[in-house]
Order: sequence, then C-alpha cells, then structure tokens
Amino acid sequence: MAGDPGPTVRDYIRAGGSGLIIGLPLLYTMEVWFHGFILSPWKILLLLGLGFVVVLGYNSVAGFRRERSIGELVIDSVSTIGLGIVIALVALLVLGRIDANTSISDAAGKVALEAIPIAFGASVATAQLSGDSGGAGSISPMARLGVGAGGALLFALNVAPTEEPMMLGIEASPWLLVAMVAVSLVVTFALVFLADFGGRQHKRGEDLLEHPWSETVTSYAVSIVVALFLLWSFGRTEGASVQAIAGMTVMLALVAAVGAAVARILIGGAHEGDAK
Amino acid sequence: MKRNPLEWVVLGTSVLAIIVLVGVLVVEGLSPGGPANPTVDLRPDEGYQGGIGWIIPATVHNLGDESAEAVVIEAEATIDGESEVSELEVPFAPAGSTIDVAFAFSGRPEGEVTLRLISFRVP
Repeated sequence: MAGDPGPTVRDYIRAGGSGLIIGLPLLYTMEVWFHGFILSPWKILLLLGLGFVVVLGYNSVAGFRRERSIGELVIDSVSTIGLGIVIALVALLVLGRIDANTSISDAAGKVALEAIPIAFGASVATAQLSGDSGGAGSISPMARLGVGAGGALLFALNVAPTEEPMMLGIEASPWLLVAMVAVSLVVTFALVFLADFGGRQHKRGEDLLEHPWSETVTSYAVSIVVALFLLWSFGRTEGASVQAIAGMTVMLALVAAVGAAVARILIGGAHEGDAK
Repeated sequence: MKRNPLEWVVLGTSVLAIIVLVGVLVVEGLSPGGPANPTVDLRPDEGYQGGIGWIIPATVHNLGDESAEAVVIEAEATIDGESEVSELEVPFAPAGSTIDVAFAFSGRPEGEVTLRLISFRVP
C-alpha cells in the first residue's frame, strides 16, 4: 500500500521516530514540565546549547546523514534540534501540557527542555535503528570519551529532573556510596569490555586512555561531572550540604556511567577500524 | 552543498523554531523578575448548584514574573447566617499563567465572598 517515501523523507521519519522513542519517557514526566517554568531561562538555554553540542558530536560520528562537510554537519545538527523543538511542541500540545492558559515563557521552557532528549534520540538512535554499524571507523580515545559524555547526558537526563536521585543520595550512608562507586565501575567495565555486545572486540591500544580500566575510570569521572552538572541545572544543589550533593551525584552517576558505556559500545572500539 | 526542497523547508523551519525559542528565553532572562503574585478572579455570577453544594468558578492568575508552588487560597462567605470557609490549593502557578479552579459552599452565599491568600512556596 504505502509507496517508497524517498530517501530524504525516510531519513526524517527515522529521525523523528527515534527522537520520539528516546523523548517519550520525559514527555510523560511531570517534573520536566514543572522545571520548564521553575528553572531560570538562562539555565534552560545552557542545557539547550549543551544539547546542540552533543547533537553536533553525535551527528559527526553516527548521525542520520553521513558523509558531509563541517558546514553540512552544522546544518544537519540545526535541523535535528529544530526537529526536536517541533516534535516537543506538538507532543506537549497533544498531551494538553500547553494550552491557551499557558504563558509563553512557560511553554518555551517546557518545549526547550523536552526538545533536548528528542533531538538526542533523532541523532543517536537513527544510526542504530537503521541497522547501520554506527562505528565511524577509528576514533580517538578523547572522541570516544566525548561520545561517552553525550551518552551519560542522554541517560542521566531521564532521571535528573525527578526527585528520586535526591532521595537516594540523602538517605545513603557513606559506605553505601562507596559501594555504589565500586558497582558503577564494575558494571560499566563489564558492559563495555566483557559483555562483547555486537561482537565488538576491543583491542588494547598504546594510549593510556585506551587501557580498559583507565577508560572505565575516566569515563566514570566524566559521568560524575555530567551528574553534578544536571543536579545543579535542576536546582538540586541549591541549599544542599556537601554530603547531600556527593550522595545525589554518586547515585545519579551510575545512570550517567551506564549511558556513557552504552554510547561507547554503540560507537565501537578505538582500534576497531585498524583491526579490520 | 546539494539539498532538495524538503531539506531546505526543514532547515528553514528549524532555524525559525530555534530563533523563536531562544528569543523568548533570552527576553525572559533579561526582563526584570518581580516576585510571584497569585491573585484570584472569582465569578459568583457563574455559580451553580452542584450535587453537594454551591459551586463558584474562579481563575487563579500569577501576575508576577516568578512561579509559585502550593498556593493556598481561602474564600469566606455567609450561608444561612453562618460564616463558611472554602480552602483551595493550587500545586503550581507558573508566572503569567492562569488556572481554572472552583470554590464550594454548602449553599448559595449571601452577599460578598471574600478572598484571602494564605501562603505559597517559592520554588
């Protein structure tokens, strides 16, 4: 019945669909709607700007249109963010979260926050859903870490606006937090280097960062920074004690670290291209 | 840089969406932020008999530039010579937004219904 929509239309359908798959949980999370008007517009702009950088990074290695110049990469990334904004607006209208009684600033905040995960989904998931290998050949250890940071942001963004990380962090004893750090490191090490997802064998390189344990530790450090940044963004650090902030960060960092691990798995090994 | 018309349309729409969104957020960020100011517009003329009382529709406006949480408003009226209080809590009142609510009393109030803002939380 349905004819071939053509490659361009198919690309956009894939991007929009992937964006929706990743964005749906946050579209149904009331804390995100509330943060749309509680957060300062500058914080929302900062998050949106960071979202654009991550989309730019993902599009450069595994985006929905391959083989392009830097100019085309920027244009594609602008289109990805735009697609995220339009999908977020339509979804929030259909969900009744934006209506005639909603002020423009409230609507803008909600749309901007919801557009970020949708745009991430559009750029990240498409390559994987379309059966693409996702691995853009050999990428440097630093780029791999950057891709991991994007994955950390994508995963942790799903949890950071909710109250749960705050509750977990405040209620945890110091020993529980130490155990959590250990669990985070072991789980992400096993996911990336032992599970052998998609047959992606990792060869140990010369670089210090290419050693499995050093990559796991640096990636975890990046996840800690991402978790802390998101907690600050969503106003969780305001008025909180150092212990509380440390607890919340460690609890959220597990989610971020798993996100970083998944991103590194999807992007493939640093020396995968060379090994072929 | 070869692009087909659809790609230009998507790019144009995207640029416009980003400019509008960022523009609104920047204007919001630059505007001097006054404190939250929840007010209520009571509509006694639209009152009607409900199953277990007299219902008076109202609208909560936040006229301030900052949002308010857990806004508690009290309406007081006289019914059959007795004073009666109806209390209402609005979980979130975003700046500039309106929320439709209703106060209820055991019967049709005699005379004026007075309103009082009890409390709200600053997020």
